[in-house]
Amino acid sequence: MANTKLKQRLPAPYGLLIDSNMPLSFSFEGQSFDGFEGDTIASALLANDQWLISRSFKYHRARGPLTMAGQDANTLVQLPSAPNTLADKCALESNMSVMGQNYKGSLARDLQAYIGLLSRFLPVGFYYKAFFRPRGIWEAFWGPFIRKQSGLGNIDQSLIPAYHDKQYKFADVLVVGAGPAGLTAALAAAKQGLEVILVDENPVLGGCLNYARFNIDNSSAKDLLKSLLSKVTAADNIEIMLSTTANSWHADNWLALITDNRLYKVRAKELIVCAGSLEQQAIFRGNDIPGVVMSSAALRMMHLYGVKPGQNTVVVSGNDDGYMAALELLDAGVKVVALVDMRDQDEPLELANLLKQKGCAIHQNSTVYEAFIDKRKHRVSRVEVRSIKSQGQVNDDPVSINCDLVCMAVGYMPTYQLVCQASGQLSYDDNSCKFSLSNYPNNFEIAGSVNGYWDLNAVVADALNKAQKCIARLQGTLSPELVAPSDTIADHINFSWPMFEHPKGKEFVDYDEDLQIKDIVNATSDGYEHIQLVKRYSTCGMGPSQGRHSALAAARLVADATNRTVAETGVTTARPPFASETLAHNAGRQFYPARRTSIHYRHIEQDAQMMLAGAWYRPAYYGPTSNSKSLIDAEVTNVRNNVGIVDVSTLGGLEVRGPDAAVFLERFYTFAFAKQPIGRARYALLTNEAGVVIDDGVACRFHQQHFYVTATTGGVDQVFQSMLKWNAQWALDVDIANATTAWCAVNIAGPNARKVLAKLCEDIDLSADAFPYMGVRQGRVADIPARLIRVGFVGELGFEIHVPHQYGEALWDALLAAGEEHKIRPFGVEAQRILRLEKGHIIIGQDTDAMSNPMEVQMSWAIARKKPFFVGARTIRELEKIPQQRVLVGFSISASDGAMPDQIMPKESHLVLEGEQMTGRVTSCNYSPTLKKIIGLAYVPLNKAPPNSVVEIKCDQGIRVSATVVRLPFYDPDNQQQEL
Amino acid sequence: MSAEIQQPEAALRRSPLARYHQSRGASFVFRAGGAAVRSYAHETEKSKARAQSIAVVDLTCLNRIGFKGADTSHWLSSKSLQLPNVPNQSLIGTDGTLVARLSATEFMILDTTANDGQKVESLRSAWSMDLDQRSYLLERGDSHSWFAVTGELAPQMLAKVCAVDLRIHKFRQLAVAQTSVARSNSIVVRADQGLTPCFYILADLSSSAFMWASLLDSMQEFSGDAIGLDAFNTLSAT
Repeated sequence: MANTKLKQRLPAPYGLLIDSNMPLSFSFEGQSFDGFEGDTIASALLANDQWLISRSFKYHRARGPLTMAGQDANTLVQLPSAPNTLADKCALESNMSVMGQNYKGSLARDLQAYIGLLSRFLPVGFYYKAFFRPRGIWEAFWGPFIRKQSGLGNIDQSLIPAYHDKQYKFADVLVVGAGPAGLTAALAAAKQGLEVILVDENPVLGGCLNYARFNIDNSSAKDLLKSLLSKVTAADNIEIMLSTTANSWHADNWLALITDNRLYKVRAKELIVCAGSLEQQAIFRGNDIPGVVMSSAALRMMHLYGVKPGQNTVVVSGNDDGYMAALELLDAGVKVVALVDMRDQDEPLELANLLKQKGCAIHQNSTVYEAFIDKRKHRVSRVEVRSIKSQGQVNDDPVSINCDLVCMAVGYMPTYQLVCQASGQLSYDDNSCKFSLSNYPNNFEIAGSVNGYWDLNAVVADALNKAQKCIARLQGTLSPELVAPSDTIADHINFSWPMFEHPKGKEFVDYDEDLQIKDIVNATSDGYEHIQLVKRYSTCGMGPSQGRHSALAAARLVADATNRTVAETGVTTARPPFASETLAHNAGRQFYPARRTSIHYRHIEQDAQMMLAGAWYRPAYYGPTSNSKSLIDAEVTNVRNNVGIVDVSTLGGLEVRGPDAAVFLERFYTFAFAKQPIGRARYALLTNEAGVVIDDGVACRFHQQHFYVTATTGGVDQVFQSMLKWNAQWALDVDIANATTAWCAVNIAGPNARKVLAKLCEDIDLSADAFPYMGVRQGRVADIPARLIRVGFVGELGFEIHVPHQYGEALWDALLAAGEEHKIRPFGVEAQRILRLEKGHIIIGQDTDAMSNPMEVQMSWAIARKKPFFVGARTIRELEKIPQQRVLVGFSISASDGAMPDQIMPKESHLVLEGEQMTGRVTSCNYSPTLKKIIGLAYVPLNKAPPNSVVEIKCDQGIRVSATVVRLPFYDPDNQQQEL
Repeated sequence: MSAEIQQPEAALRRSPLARYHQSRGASFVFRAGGAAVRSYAHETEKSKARAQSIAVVDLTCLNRIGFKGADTSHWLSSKSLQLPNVPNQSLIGTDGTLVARLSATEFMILDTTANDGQKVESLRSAWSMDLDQRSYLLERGDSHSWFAVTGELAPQMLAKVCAVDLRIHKFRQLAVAQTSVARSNSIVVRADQGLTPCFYILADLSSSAFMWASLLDSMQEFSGDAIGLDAFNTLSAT
């Protein structure tokens, strides 16, 4: 039953973001609640007085909103489709079902909360020191236990991912942050006619002007906001992107912006970061209890969501903003029972007097020393205030104050992440406790509080200055002389040491990882004195909020513990992303740029099982998967005994043309091409400078100045690039074009190949004498212009027919029709691999590796010795002088060797052993339907290379099989078939 | 001259997207040896309005060719072609043929005219390896698909797949960009049709299905769809 009694709402104009005319129902932990359109999950829960929202990571402590800005991990909740959703950021939707996470039992009564009682036994870095003794305890106990505990929330594995995509954007000036500085800067740039993109992660413009108080009567912010909004929204050349997070900066002002399910990739000529600052917590025992919040969070609750954050408030302050927040609370009808000012001087008298008049007690030079949780363990109920004795020390003069809200206002850190991602340096002045950012790139500016300005006039002046600098650069004019604005507030904005260690601990430095003061100090005691080491040892700053609220405190503690200044200690590095982003955002649309041959759809229509070969789809075999082996065997047999066709369009095709074409190939490949006759093809083996075999193909000479060179499917791009590189270096008169896609190629192979082709080819004499093996011709096949190459990769009479891409399907159809009387059938990659293996042909990349030289793969015959040079020649000559270590040989395993094909079959990369020593490996292996035995290729040591040597191969499950080395090729050693 | 053709299979030259076109009830017209889409079943009298807003048309069957080499500009000029002076620019000749200069020594010629690419055919016929020149033919018709994205929203839609700023006031008429579109190497040419912005996209022919699907997907949020040559040709009249 819906809880319709919304007890904690304030009337308009509070609640800028909500529409009280649009009520929404939702559930949290199975209980029904009501909220409004515009609420976040957290604001709606708070309006229902539900402050307990999550459980902490390690100690399962009760946690509630801290920032109300999505900048902390205290509001992580579980949605049906997504764990770890920030409740203070996620918009409320009707009928939303929200659950807490990281608990056992219920959120309210977490059975694992006992872990907090064990905290003294879980010191910093304990996981580095535990779990491994006694021997076997990890596997037996700790491993399974921790695995069960690990992770936050549950993933819906049946979830169908939502559509995500990406879009580029372009701007003269990109302004990140639409607070007073961002609005001012954007407007100034737009006035000069520049294209401006203004980004803010919030759903409305204005930033802190929407909730913060800048003077006693609160007039300055309202007036400025009204003025800026009217101008910015009227400017046609300002594109406003709200609810958008500038999540990362990359070189040349390339920024990733995320909104909803889209990742925008923005190129900005100029960038102005006006990202504001992050309020920091006071550190005292119990500072994590629900109801202990940043002062800015309380203001957001009221002004943005119309939530009355409490009845009785204690403000703990180290600057004037605490007083401003107290006034705002009082104006909203929230009683402020005490303002606890850590300062012993600089009390703002006017503000203090006003608060006193309104019944608020001022405790000067004091701090909240401990906060207490109520009996239900859901929310703060009382604080203990003590006077400050010295840095971090208090007197024994406790004053107890009942309250249900504690607001912390002790200082800020600049929202430095984007700046530091851009190699900016964050510095700290130990005297003024001020941060500053420097060393960021050209065409990059920062303005406002991220740049250390707090007075509203100074913020505006700073933004105008930075906009002027950007405008001058874009317009190519000299940057005007700019005067840095003065700001009297900035020197007092950060209290120097708002941290008070308690004998019982639980003063949290890092909420995400439940790290207390002693954890950071103990990390330094363990020898980790560098801030980066402290981070990794303690995990401080490694949680979801990425050190937003722990970096400064940790730096102060480490500095103090190691007798250094904070400036000397520094803070940890900020890397992208700023906020968590999904893999879906990075992946974008789910398209894979696979390449299809022009015969692709015919393959599918002919029931081919398609597979990816590199970037290409290729038919593996034709027919149902249930019958794959016999289908493949039948395809092989049909080629051997009859005729088959295979789509080899994926082979690389390179046009090498020009007066120096032959010279180029002479230098590029190992073989000789200078005297290659027109109308002939030659095998082309490619090595790199290290003498390693990297590709092969055939070079077909169609003209004195024209070679058409094929390359392997996966290697052609590399070969092409290599050709371009060498051509540039050699400066030969030759042009090289990658024509791989431009040609469709079909290999027709088998004893009947010539008969079938002859029916389609009238202008080429296909006879063995007129068109011999390794001949090339140009003519027409089925009335399609074609290049024909007589090659024998599969070891049969064969013709590779290359036609322009878009004619491929027509060629395929014509070949099948012409071969019908011969029972022609297509064959796929699997059959082709068996056929070439039977013929002993290697596949570069499968039968070679990153070390294979021509001698090892028995291809010395493909090296032209009389040439003065080819790529890799010198290395090969040197390699030939030293003893060879291995050689690629053929092996066979027959039934008589004790191996049955279906039971034992070596696989690629299975090891060749000599005793227990690894001496080689299998590169190819298959059952030969032609030879009726298992055949394969393997690297073996030289002493095992002679035919009839026996090698031992370790197969799956450790089964060892004896194989006999045989002379290659396995099939048709006299080449009678391919040269028919 | 163009003539009706019932099915793409009636021609020897077939677009890689023939199956897609058929699945959407396309009617075909014979162009440059292949079947180009005249119109789809879903097209109505509003197709022109769609083309002016956002649409994509498959021009892959139309004629195109490329040449490169040190003597190419000289040779093409001798064939009465006007050439752009600098790379990454294009020109449209008086006969409607578009010449894009891809580098100092490389050109691509696109022919959308209704004369079935006669200019391209004449260049192909005139070229031979026996010519004593350093100019080499590139069969762009079989290496590159050719799509045209039309309409006022085209730059916005293309920003989803291309990192080049193709906005009308940035990427001028007849500008050429050799870039990546939908992760594929592509040549983009702005060739407005009448008053309607139009971007030719030429990319790897073997990836046509991917590119076509990517473009259609990108224009979905703008209610874009495929159109045939009839609707495309109406643009140049306005």
